[in-house]
Amino acid sequence: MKQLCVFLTCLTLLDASGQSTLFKNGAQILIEAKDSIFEIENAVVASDEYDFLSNGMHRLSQLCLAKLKSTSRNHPDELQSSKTLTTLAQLATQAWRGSQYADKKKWAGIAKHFRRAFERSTSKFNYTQQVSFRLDLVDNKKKRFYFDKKPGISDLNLYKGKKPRGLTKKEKEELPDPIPLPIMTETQLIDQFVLQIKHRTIISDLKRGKYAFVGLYIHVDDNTLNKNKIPTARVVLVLGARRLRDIRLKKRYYVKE
Amino acid sequence: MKYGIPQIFGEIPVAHLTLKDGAINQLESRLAGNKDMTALTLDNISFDDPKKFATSLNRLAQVETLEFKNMTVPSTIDQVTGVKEMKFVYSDFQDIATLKKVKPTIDMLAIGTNITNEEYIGNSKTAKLGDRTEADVNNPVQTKQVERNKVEQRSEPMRLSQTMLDNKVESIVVPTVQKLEVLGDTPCVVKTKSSEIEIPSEAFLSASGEVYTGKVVIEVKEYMDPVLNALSGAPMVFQTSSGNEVFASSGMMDFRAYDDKGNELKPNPASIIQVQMDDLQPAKESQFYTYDETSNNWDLAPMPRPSNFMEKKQEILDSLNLISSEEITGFQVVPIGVFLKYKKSSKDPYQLIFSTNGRSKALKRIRGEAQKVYTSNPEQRWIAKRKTWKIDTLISEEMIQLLTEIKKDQRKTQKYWKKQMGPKYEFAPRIIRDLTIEPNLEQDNYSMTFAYLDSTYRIPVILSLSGSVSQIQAKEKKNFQSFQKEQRIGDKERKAIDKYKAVELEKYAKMRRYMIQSTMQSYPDYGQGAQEYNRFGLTQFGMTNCDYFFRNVPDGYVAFDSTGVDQNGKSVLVPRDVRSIYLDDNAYVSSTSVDIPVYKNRRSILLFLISSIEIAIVKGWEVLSNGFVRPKVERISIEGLTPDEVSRKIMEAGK
Repeated sequence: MKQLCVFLTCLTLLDASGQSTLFKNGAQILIEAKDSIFEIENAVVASDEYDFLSNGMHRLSQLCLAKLKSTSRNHPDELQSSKTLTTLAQLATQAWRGSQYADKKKWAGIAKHFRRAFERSTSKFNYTQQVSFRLDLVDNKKKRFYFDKKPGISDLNLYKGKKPRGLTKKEKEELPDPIPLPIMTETQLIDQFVLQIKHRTIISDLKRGKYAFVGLYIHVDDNTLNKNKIPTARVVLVLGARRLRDIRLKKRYYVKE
Repeated sequence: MKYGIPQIFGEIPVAHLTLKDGAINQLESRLAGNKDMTALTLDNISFDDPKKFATSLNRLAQVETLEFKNMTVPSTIDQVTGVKEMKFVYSDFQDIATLKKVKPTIDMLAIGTNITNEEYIGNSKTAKLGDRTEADVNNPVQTKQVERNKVEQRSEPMRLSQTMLDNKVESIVVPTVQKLEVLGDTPCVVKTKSSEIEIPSEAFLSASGEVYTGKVVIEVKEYMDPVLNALSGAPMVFQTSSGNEVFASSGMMDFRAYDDKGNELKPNPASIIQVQMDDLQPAKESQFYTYDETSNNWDLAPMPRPSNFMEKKQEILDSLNLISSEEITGFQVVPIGVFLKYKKSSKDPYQLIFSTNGRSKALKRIRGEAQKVYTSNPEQRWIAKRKTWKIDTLISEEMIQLLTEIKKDQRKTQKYWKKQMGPKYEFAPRIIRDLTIEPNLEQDNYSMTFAYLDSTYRIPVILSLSGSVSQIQAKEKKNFQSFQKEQRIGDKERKAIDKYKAVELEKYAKMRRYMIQSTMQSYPDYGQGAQEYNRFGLTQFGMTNCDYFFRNVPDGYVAFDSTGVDQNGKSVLVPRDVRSIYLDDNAYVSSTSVDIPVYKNRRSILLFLISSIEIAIVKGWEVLSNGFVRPKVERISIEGLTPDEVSRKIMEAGK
């Protein structure tokens, strides 16, 4: 953990051109030779708002993994969490922070880094598929909003509507309180998550039981906080599959001793 | 002593007293005064009162050894208790059963006297003698330790003439001298009729002890024929302190070397001449002896090294049945050739690509006489054809080295065989063999196994495929099914070959085994190649032999009359020296005409010299009333004949 914290601090000092190098170097240090597999715990999605500023993204990750597990077919393999894939996802969210998440083609070009990093470790699977996207953390229903840097009733300083301008002092006093943008609930976040992976045809493969291992990391994009932007979280999802899943060993009728 | 033992024997100190040719009543008590007398020998003595004799002997407490020679031992021998040792030399017993009652602490030694009585030898019980054959009875050297008692019985030594005992038997025919010339500083191998002599450089020393490098004349006389040995008077007696032994020869030679001036040379101990001589008696364990001309006796030298061909041949014959039919017939299964290439990149892991060369059609039928079968190995072909494999592990230095070595070996082989045989690699050695894959579901990859040189290597690999997860999983499934199908075809091929080996090839192998056995069993009769031989180094020039002792006890002795009769009825004077040649043992004996040893079941030739140019071969004899026998002989002229011709003539006459 300490190692991870030090590493994250260093990340902020690097410029965007070293993103791939950053990912590779991190993979070299942190990827273990042998993978560890964990069961995904069930989690109940609440309808409360998800206060990401105080709670962090850990609970959201758990909810997303639980959703993936409930979606996937348990036969022949039950979906499990892989430490190697989780580490790769984490490194990816830290290495790539920009337009790769929006552009599928750009993301496809990054795939080879995942593959090479993955090949350093010994694991029970030999195929990986990685997707990335952003999750909106605040619900503005695609309507106008504004950012008021003066501290107010909203922690995020984001309010609905248009920012009032050219008001007199008396008008400002009579002005009603601005309406802060509501934070997404857990349910809404999960729905968003499912929609994103649906667009990337992950759901159908999960339902057919193609994947057996998953690594997920969600990281709040600090560049979208305290700005006139909707706060988002970068999500990298890496799925692992067994290539020889469908192989059946048939008995040889003549084996020379 | 007819009238008692003289008084003087009681006064003069005598350690060993011998009483010979007489009769005594008892041993005089005056002998008790002779405290130095420890041994008493009775030679051809008869006893008036054996009981008194035993009692009087017991009074002579100082006597430790009592010897009976050429006489009948009285039945009261068991009453003798005071001595420590009893010797019986050419004697017999009034009652042999009394021997076993002799005090057990008394040691016994019998020479030419049978002291065996059922399960007793003397006073020693030997219950575990087992099946005693006639040979055991005739040739016993049996020693039995019973508490403190030691009993020894020796066979009667053969009666030989004095000239034989002194190794001075007269030479009738001199063996052929083989003369060869070599250079003292040049190593060479010299072959004689029965030997191969390896002469290293600087093998000769002059009389002054310096290395002689000039012209050397080697004279070799070989004594490999028992008839010629007898006629040449070869020294065949080994004199020892405990008695004389007669040699039976496994091979004998006389090696001498002279310089260009005729001076005799000596061997150089720093550069010993090695001799490989035919072994005439390979079944016997021979010792190696060198002859000392000054003492006329043989000296024991280090053992020769036998070739043991017969033993090895028997081992081969015994092992023939253990050799598989493939080995005996030279049957070969030739797989396809598989060649490995690899690509390396700093970004991608190593990729392995294979190619094949060889038969592509599956084996359908094996011809009955084919010794070489080319298999199609479809599973190996599947792995190699149009497949790129990625190594699914971190590449180590050892793996890189292995791949590099394989690449080099393949390149060398391909280059050489392409040059020699053209593009077909049917005869090229297979660098990589037994290529196969096995799915490792645990690691989600394949274990690729192949044999290279003497080792088997296992590398985790995956197929180089692209596409979505569904596409890849479907391809893997289809590929593996296809591989298993090829494996089954390969199994059928192997099964057909195994069946062929078990049925058809085994028939051919039986025939081959029979042919080899027949050839080997008759092999020693053809040529010198299978001749057994002895190897030894010549530490001394002169006569050397590889011999063992001829200890067969004769069945009896005959005494020839002074005249014999030849094939024409003319009388022949019988000389004192008669020679008996024992063909099976390659031995001969020179004895006096009145003490000729005879054997019932041994091939032998008796001969004697009539004149310098005539030999008489004894064909039989007529028993005379006086106990002598009159020999019937065949005259053989040896005038103008070579030694080999003489030997041949005598052998023919002696049949």
